[in-house]
Amino acid sequence: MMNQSVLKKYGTLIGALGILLVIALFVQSNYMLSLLSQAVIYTILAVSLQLIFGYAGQVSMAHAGFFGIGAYTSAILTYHYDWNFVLAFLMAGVVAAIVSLILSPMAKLGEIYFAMSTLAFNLILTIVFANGGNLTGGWNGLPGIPFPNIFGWVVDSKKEFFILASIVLIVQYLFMIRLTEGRLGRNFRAIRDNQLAASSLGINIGLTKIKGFILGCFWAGLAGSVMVHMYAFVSPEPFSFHESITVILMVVLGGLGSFVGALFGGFGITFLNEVLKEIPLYRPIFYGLFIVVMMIFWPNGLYGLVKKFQKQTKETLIKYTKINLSLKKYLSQSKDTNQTILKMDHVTKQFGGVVALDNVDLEVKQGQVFGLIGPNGAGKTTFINTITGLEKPTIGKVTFLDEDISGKPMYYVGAKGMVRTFQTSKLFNSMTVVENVMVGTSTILKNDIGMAILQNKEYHIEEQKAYSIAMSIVNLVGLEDKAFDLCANLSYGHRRLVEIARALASQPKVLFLDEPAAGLNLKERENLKDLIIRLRNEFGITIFIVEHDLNLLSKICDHMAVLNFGKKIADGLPQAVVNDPEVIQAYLGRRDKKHA
Amino acid sequence: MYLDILVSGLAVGCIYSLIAMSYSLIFRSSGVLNIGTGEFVMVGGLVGYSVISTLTTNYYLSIIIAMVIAGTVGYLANTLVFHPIQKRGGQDVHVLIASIAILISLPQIGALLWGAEPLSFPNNISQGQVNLGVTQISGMSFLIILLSFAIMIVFQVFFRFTRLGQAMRAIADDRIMSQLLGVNNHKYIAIIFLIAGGLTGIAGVLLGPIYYASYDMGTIGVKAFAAAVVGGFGNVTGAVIGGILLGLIEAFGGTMVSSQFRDLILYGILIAVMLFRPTGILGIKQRRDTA
Amino acid sequence: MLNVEHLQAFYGNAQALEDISFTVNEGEIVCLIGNNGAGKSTTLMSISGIIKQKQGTIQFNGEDISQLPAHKIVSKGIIQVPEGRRIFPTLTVEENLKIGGFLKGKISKARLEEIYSIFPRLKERRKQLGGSLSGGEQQMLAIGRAMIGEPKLLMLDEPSLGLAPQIIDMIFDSIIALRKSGMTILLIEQNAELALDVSDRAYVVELGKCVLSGECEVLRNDQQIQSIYLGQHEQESVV
Repeated sequence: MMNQSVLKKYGTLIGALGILLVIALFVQSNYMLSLLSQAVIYTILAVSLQLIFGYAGQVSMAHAGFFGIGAYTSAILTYHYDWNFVLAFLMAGVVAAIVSLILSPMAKLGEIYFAMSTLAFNLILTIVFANGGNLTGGWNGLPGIPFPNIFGWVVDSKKEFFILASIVLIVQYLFMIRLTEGRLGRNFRAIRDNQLAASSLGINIGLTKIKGFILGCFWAGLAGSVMVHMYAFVSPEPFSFHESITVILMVVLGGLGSFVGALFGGFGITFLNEVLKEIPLYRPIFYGLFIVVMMIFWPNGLYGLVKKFQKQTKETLIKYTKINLSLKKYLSQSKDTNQTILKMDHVTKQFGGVVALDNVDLEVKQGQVFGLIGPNGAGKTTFINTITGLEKPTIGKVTFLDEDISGKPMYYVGAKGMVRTFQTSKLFNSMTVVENVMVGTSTILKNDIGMAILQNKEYHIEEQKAYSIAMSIVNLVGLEDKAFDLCANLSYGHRRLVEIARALASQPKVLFLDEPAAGLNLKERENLKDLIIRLRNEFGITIFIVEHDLNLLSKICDHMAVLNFGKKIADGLPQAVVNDPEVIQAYLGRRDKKHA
Repeated sequence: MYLDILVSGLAVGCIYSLIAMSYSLIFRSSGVLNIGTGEFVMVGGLVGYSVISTLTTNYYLSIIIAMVIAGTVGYLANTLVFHPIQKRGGQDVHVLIASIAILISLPQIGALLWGAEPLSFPNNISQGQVNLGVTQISGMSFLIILLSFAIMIVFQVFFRFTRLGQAMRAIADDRIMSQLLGVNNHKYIAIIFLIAGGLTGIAGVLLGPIYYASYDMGTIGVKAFAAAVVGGFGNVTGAVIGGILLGLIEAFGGTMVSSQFRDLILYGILIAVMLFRPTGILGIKQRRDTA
Repeated sequence: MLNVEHLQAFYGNAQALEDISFTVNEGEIVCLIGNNGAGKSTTLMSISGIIKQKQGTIQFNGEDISQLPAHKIVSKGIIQVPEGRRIFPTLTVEENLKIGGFLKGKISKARLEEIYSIFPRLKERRKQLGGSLSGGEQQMLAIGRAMIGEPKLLMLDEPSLGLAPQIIDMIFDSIIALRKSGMTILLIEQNAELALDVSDRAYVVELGKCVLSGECEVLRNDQQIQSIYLGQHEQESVV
């Protein structure tokens, strides 16, 4: 099985390696070699943009600009300052990464703002490159950039450049596969599928996107270095925003989110460019039409088309075997039931003229199943949103384990241990059930860029643990035979369970369930009830349920509160609450009046 | 001297405002950010040039014809590109990529039809002076400012008081509810594209005499976008304020740097705003999609 | 008047409605009751033409309307007051009302006054922005906005949502008044008791299917209904 998984993981890489090797051995024409090297360099660019665009979900219109930063860095350092190529090459990547770091706060913005700002940045870069005086050579460029000398290997023929570029591509491809495999890769895909759900699990979306952006720009810088040394010349033209758009086209053609797709896109568009070389004026028009037609009929590119034919519903690749871990140890919480875990003081939330929450006080103790009821529209969902950081309270304070968390962002609250589910399940639809649950372990795991690339022993131990925990939790909620199904294909009831399982994987101190019984049939409701009781009894997890179904709640809650038109009208033991005349009056509406 | 800079800055600012309004109108009603908006300006500029150099010497007529043609291009962009993508379930990112297609292909079409050389409008348009009693100002700038303010007032009246304008605001507020009350969203969004395209067409003809008309003048769209975000994106009033503010900043800032770095000012402002205050100076909150 | 048969609806891959069939006769109030997530709102959105992925027939006055776009369905006289009211927040109260009569052309002062006479609160606030209204005022505005379009069939989705009891009473009094004036109404309510009180007939929706139907009087005394939908009350009375 290990062999099979290695083949699946590195199959494309091995295939690509083979093809590149054959080319290196047999192609002699300098024209072909030059074209192929160019294709390889553009493919490096496409693969690096795939990380930013297909994974981190940001349309960077400055990718050619970062390519140019690397190119100019390497050119200037070797030409003006006689640096060795190897150092200049690395510096090219580093400088591109540093510049992207300065711009990285923009990566938190919506995609349209990011696209437009990076477009502006690329325009700035072109002006800077073209007006850099002697340093950049202005519009005329810098000719005579020295050939690379890599520890004695002087790269000065077309074939050698092809080999150099191919090595960079292969290392990069390996880098990307590994990077997107572990925790970070899961987080990228989770964010792409559903940002809100990802942040509820404690994933810092902005930071994750920034990581993708910086790493992508780093590789673009390296590609730039290889290119200027190959042509022994640098000028502003190849780094204009038009070239950024060409790289976007490569990624889009291949399909968002697929590195294999980026390989095809990179080679395909480079060769298409060559074919259309004779009619340069018509090329952008042709590409424009091509993009529009693709976006209408074929928005997911080549990769999407292949996927459509595969009709894959189950993911058969299992990277790890499950080991036995104590779920009890993983999930258990403090047994101190006197401790106040969550407290709200005078919380008010207003939307325009509508007061959704009106001066609500509440206290939840460790290990309680706490039920909040109220008719539809009483403000229950607003209540959860306000506690878990989706909304800021207009007035008032939310305290979680003695920390004031009012107004803190959702991922922060999630990482602290307050994890929620949503009224309409928000799953990562392109991932399997067990992968969804593994995303939940994000805040527990430590592996990040470094460990993912190295894939050391520690990494494998951690990933195996994450997998095993996820499988155990999938068993706990009763979805073991669905573990490898894609979430997009699940039934309504199963979706709700996946969401609970995913939240559990993040070791919640308080688990918020927003109308968990909505849309479930009677049997599913019974199972849900049993699961909630089990979570409390076995693991001591504090559970906060919002429901309008009084019947269900009064059977499982230790403590209840009633919300009506934004005000808390009762708070106490379930028996006391359901007997409270004010509750009967308000919650049941007109009944008394009608029968009077 | 300062008065001249003030007036010309105000005039260019008004042009930015017109384009920024086009961004905002389209975005608010259909959710499309058309990165290619600047290219509609190019269409307006080039068409305006052709009209005035071949058909007629009447500048006002060239404004109207350019408006109609750029409006038609806007309308077609919706009907042939954005609407089909949205109808087939395409997401925002697909629409965004399609608008990039407009950004790369329209200028090339422009270059094929009009050539790559910058085209100058006849001198008599831009050289007149208006006597304001105490001082004289450029007639062209005066026309731009007057016309832009007239357009903005017409827009305010249209959106505030007409049935059609109110329906368009309703679409911008809630695209489902407007349908539930019988508003044919598709039709009115198409009209908005027509209007927004027309606005950029006017901007193109007004811009032509100050600089020149050419296939690559569409990058002004990025500056106008800067104006839109400075004012708070999606907010039509903000677009006007942002446009005028940036026009003035560019005019006065431009006197301090050499001409090839002049463009850096507004691109830099766009990036600075995005880094430090993405909600814009008016602080209008962007719509949050939580669903 | 309205005849829905074997309606199925989908959100992407997921099937939201499996088999919904019901009829509404002229002058009736018919209600759909059921738990959250049962598919009641999806049913209304399918009838209104917002949800396009659907199968089955929807006939209105004998004409199949299942393939019509939303605005055409409104022009046939089916107007919905959706869940959460969806007031246009940046339009004034009066502008909101005018949009309600969009297909009627220019709205006369007299017509506005008629609505104001039903909901005098709206007249006081007519220059205010919709977003600044309280929940109860928004519900009045939503109903007023639908009324001004002179619907033949008015569909109300959870009119009691998030409102104080006295406001709910007021809203339901106005619903009863509407029925007396001959309006046909399709009502969705999570508060089954309330819904059964004002309606003539009811359908019970569960997991995207119509499972039960009948006269409200009969259903109210039905053991099954009592235990599932009025169960809370039963428990109350036991205590």
